[in-house]
Amino acid sequence: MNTTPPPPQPPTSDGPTDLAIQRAISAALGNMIAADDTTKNAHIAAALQAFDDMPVVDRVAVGSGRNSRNWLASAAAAVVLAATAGIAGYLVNGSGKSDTTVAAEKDEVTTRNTATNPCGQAVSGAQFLNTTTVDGKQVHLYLRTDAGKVEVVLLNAETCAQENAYVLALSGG
Amino acid sequence: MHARDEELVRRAQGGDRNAVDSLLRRHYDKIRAVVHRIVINTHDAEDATQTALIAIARGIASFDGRSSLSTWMYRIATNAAIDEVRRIRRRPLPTDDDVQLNQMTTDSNEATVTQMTVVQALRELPEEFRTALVLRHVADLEYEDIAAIQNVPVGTVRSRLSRAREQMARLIADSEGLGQNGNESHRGHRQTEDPEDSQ
Repeated sequence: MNTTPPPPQPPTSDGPTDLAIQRAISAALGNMIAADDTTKNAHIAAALQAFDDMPVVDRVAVGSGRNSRNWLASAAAAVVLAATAGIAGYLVNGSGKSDTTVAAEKDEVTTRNTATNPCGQAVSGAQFLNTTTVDGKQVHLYLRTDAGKVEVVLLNAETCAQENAYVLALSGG
Repeated sequence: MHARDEELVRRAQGGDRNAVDSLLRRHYDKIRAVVHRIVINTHDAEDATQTALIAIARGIASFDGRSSLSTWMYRIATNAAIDEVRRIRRRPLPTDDDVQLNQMTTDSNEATVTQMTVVQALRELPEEFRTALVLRHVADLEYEDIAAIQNVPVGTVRSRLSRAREQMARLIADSEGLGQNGNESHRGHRQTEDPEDSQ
């Protein structure tokens, strides 16, 4: 038999000491005074600057403002496929030209697609790309360049109401 | 509170700068506390806090709602803090006890001594133990959330917390015998024992 007294053991089970330790830990760790306003404002200002410096396509979540993320995931896939073909055609027709030339050709593009523009003037200045089905819902896809950005606009095929818009690229400031 | 967070997230994800500002201000104190308690050193913790806030602002568009917003933010804050700890690991930690002392609000001199001891003990914990402890006691996260942030099983979190508390208890008992003044009053945060911890 060992006759020496057992060494003191740290608390390892329920008991007042354990509870006291947990209380002390919570109190000590959580007990910090808030940062001074100068530091806090500087931290947040820097974070907002980083937010501002991001390209819009990274700053804005795809499908923000929509509730159905599954629907959006399907829609995004369809848009990418359809838009790729449309953008390619658009770029062939429009890129590399002067602003004046591009402006002049915009009418031509719009006119050329009037016959296959199922929603008429529902999306002004936009080019009809394709009609596709997303989650059982038919949508018309349009390519629109407006205010320095290129975006794909989805219109409900039955009502021609806008379902969503996806920014694909920015052309400047 | 949560509904307003959701609304702010929705607006932030639509590019609303003011919504990002509001979210950061609303969660700033907790984010900063998590970072400070993991990094310990005050100056480095401020840098890590800045890093975390920038990462949150830049990443808000990718927040998908699979976890709560606060858990997502604490994950980013934790990563920023751990990155900072690893950056400074090769240089000795300064003994800025006076700075730590200034960061504590206290009810009494006795409480001040206790808190200083706890923070000193916290400093001596391995990083992963300290992180688990901070996420539990500062961020008030559940075991599952801590496990997800630390990328370990829940059982490992339970073990880390148990061992961290055990180690802290030993350090604290060695220095001042906490059991004698453990009934002091405390504000906020968890004040009851975790039922899971005794398993």
